[in-house]
Amino acid sequence: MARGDEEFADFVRASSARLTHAAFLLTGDRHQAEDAAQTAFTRTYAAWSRVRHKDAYGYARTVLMNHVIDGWRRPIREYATEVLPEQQDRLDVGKAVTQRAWLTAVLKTLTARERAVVVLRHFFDLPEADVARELGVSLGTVKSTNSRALAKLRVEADPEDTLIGGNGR
Amino acid sequence: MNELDDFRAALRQPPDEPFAEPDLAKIMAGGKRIRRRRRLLTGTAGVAAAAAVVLVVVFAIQLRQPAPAPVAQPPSPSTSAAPASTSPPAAEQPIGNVVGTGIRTASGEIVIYARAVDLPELPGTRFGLVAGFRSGTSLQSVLATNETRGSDRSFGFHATDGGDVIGNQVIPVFGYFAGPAARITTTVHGQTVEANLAKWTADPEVVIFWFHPDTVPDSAVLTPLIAYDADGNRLTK
Repeated sequence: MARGDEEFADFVRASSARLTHAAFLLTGDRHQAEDAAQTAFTRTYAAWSRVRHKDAYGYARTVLMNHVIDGWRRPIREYATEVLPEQQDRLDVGKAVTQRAWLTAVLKTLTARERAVVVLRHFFDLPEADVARELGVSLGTVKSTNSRALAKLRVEADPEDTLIGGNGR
Repeated sequence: MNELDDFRAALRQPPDEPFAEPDLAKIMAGGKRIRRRRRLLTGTAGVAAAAAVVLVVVFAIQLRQPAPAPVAQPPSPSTSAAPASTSPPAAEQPIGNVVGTGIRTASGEIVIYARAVDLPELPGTRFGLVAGFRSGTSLQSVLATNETRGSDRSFGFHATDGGDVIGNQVIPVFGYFAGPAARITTTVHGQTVEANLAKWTADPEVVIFWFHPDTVPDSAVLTPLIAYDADGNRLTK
């Protein structure tokens, strides 16, 4: 195996769990998530000589996000509901299984853009400005979308995740 | 921990069952297929070319070479390029029209044109597209692409490439559609983006398209293309 290929194999091994997990949070479906990760890695491999010494992970993440977001537009659009599944008032990290089920259910109550913002901001931990760049929207849109999403999820935001003068509702 | 920390912890909690490992062999085969569409060419061609010119053709079936390093020249086994100090280099011979993009660079306007392809391993491909620079009457090829599977004029999209920085210049995403496409779109960050279209004069059934880099800055943001006919009917899935 060529050196570049070995590097790429290492890259896939190191990043596949995280990227597939992100795809799962975005799609809510294991198989779709695994397919999306496979596609993102394929396109990253095609550009490997160009991105291997830059931000390969960022490139793969961008491809993944675009692939998933594009997939949202084509099938029957999923509309968010205001009805949250009945669940505990406060998250309990000890109740892992319950929590996972709750998380999967509540993420489905978000719109596509809200989910994308939540995943980029709180799973990948990107600064708001980077989220805006990644999604091609304004910083204000990221702030308001994030605020609205957290409010829907009944998660109390940090001050920096809250719009000035309100929670974005 | 506040609630946000809890939420973030929940987001990052690994699944009960690990996700399936990506199929590395399949990824590499797919990635190579994408790369194989590329023919990276450097060099200068044109009647106005002066002095020594080294014409090097990169045949991108060589896959693992660092990007700008040119290697092979099909069908000739040799890549040696003769410095042509006395005779001008072979001029680019576009087939049909040269499509101007209106994008001006220090090297000239970015243009797209077709060029003959004659490779024994690609019997169904008689032409490919080239993105290059036009300065005065000379053409300088930068990135060439062609169909590598099946017929070059089968109905649908072919040879989409670009969206890369090559030689400090963003080469737009470009390609062609075989069929009566009157409108071609993609989406970038959820926004629909329209391609610029030009019929190929050598075959009006072929529509050359390209996206301005302002709207599609990078191939990574590109999503599957959609073609419509003059009545607005979708031609592709």
